[in-house]
Amino acid sequence: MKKNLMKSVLASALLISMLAGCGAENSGSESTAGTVTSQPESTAAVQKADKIEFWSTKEDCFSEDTEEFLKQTGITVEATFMGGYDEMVNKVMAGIAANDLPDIAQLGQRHGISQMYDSGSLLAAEDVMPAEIMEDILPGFWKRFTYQGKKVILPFQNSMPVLYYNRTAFEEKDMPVPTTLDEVISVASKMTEGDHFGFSTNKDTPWYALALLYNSGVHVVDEQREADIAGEAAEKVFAAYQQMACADQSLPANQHATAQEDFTNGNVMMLMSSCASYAKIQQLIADRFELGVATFPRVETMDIPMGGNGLGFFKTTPEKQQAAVEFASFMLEPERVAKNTLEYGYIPVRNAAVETETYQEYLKDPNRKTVHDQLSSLGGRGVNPADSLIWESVSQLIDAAEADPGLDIGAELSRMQESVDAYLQEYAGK
Amino acid sequence: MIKTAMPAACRNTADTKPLHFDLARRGGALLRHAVLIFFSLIVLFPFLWMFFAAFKPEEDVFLPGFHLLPSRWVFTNFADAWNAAPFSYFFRNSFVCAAIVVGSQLITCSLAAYGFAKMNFRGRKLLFTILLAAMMVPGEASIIPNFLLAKNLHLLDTFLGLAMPSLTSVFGIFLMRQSFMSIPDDLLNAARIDGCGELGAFWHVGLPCARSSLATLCIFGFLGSWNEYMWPMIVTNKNRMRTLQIGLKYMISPDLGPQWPMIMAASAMILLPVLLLFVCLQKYFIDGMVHTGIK
Repeated sequence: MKKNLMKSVLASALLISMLAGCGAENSGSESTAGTVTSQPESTAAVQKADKIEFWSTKEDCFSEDTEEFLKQTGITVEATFMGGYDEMVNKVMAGIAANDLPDIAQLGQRHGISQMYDSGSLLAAEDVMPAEIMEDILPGFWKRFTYQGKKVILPFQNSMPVLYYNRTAFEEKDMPVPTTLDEVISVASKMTEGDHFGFSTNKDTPWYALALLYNSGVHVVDEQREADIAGEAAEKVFAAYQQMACADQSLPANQHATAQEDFTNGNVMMLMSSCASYAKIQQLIADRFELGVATFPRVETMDIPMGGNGLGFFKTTPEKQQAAVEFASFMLEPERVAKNTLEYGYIPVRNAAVETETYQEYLKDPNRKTVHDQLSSLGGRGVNPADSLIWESVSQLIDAAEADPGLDIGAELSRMQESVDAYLQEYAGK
Repeated sequence: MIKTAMPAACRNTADTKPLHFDLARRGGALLRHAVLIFFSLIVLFPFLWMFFAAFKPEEDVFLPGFHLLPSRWVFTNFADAWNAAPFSYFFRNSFVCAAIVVGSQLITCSLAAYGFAKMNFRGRKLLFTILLAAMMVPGEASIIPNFLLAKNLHLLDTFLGLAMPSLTSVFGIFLMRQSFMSIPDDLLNAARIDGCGELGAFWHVGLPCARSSLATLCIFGFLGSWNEYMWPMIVTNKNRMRTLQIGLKYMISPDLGPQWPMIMAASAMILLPVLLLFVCLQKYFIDGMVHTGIK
């Protein structure tokens, strides 16, 4: 009996240790892309880098492009899908803590960039990319990706919020397309009938609310890195959500997770969403109705924030850094950028891409022309350390405003401002 | 043929039950079954919706009104879902990781629980209280320390790294302890009298009596490992070492949104092993409750 027991214990221990050893990919030489290391890596470092590590938020990790890059340059891009923007931030933060980062990564604009840069692991794009490409990037993109006076992230797949509408329903009711927030509220109310709602926003609700805040002249975080949220202008924005959801019942309260599907099924007449979703929305609508795209509603001004992602360069060996820059330049070739735009609906980040025949062909679609015309209003605010807190706070305030007609929005905004201020002060003190 | 009445003593007593009693009994059974079927359908409905959505074209998934069945059957969703991510690796990795977790938890939790339940030593209660307090720490709070530990032990992108945080379970220890506490000391004493040491009593008496709890631990351990997303995402950098829940993420674009039919198809495939496990272990739940060993 004792022998059998010992055998079982030993077998289990052996199995566990075998499994620990097997299945490990390069476990003896884990990625050290974030550091300059000693032997044997330094021996390899003096040779031209033939491999770089790329973390992507695109499911297929740009497989066609990386294969073509390999054919052209001989450099292998080990691309790994890391999930969405939030997962990417978690991965990069864990990588910073463990000193295990890729050479280049797709970073969402939403949050985390400030912390990555302040950690010292992220290089500024302007310090590594050729001037020729940097100067060709459309100026409006730099507003978001500038931090502490430096252009830190290279714009890549970027978008703007726009207003999609059911053109067929609008024409049937002879309804004008709204151009301001007040008009959206009014038209939404008129278009609401039975089970059909007049308006909704896609599930990334804070992005559209922030766009409305910027259009209202609210800074959110000013140049001195102080919160500037509370006030009449911001109250008006959230009051609009409250009015539409509670009083007018033209906005299905807290049903943003399926807002896109509700719009493409014809249950919602207007939808604030990303221009990057244009191709997908067209596909989902099929032949149910005709899709229209309008510019984002103006409030006091037009100051449209950018969405999407950019390419971030992490500290690595000089050879791998050069290869990463070469890869980024390849991905930003004008035709490639134009193709990206055509396939999804992202906005072209370079002047040279705008001038290509592919993009000019793209502009023949009046909906896409509308998005292109909105480029002149591209602006928004730069990344800051409180981005995550602001995003969460705005999301919670929208949820609360849509659920509670009696919510004191002014008080909530004051609380938000205090918490953002406290966070920024604590961060600055670190 | 002349029919004569049977003497009363010879009549089958069942035949003498009043008719209304029989109807009431059958009616009660019918009502019970109807209620159970109703609630079963409520529980089953999301799975049915998932199954049928896996066969729908994308534009039909969220049609207004009730449309359970597809307007046209799209069988390629399953193939598209399979090809969207390296699911063969993901299935392998999830199975291996779950096997390690279940095996490890069965050993560690049962041994620890037996000690807490049936062995007297100084500080036993305090130690158990401290162990329970560890359950209060949320998993997310320990992700970064665990990651640093895995990194320093060179366990990134390994099966052991994937299974590391779940090699034992405080909940499992608690569950097994409760089970061992219900075993009469007489049984264990009988084993000791027969010449068993403590481990022998554990192996020959304790474990067989705790089969139902072991089966429960299996299921919880398997499910916990099978459904894990955040830890495998953090601890792996290579596709070949990723697990199934990460595979689902391949069908959700941050800018374009989810591809629902493919997600439903992948979810249906991922659910099958879990269902199989429940079917296999279901009998042990009942078996453990029925049998006792005291004579």
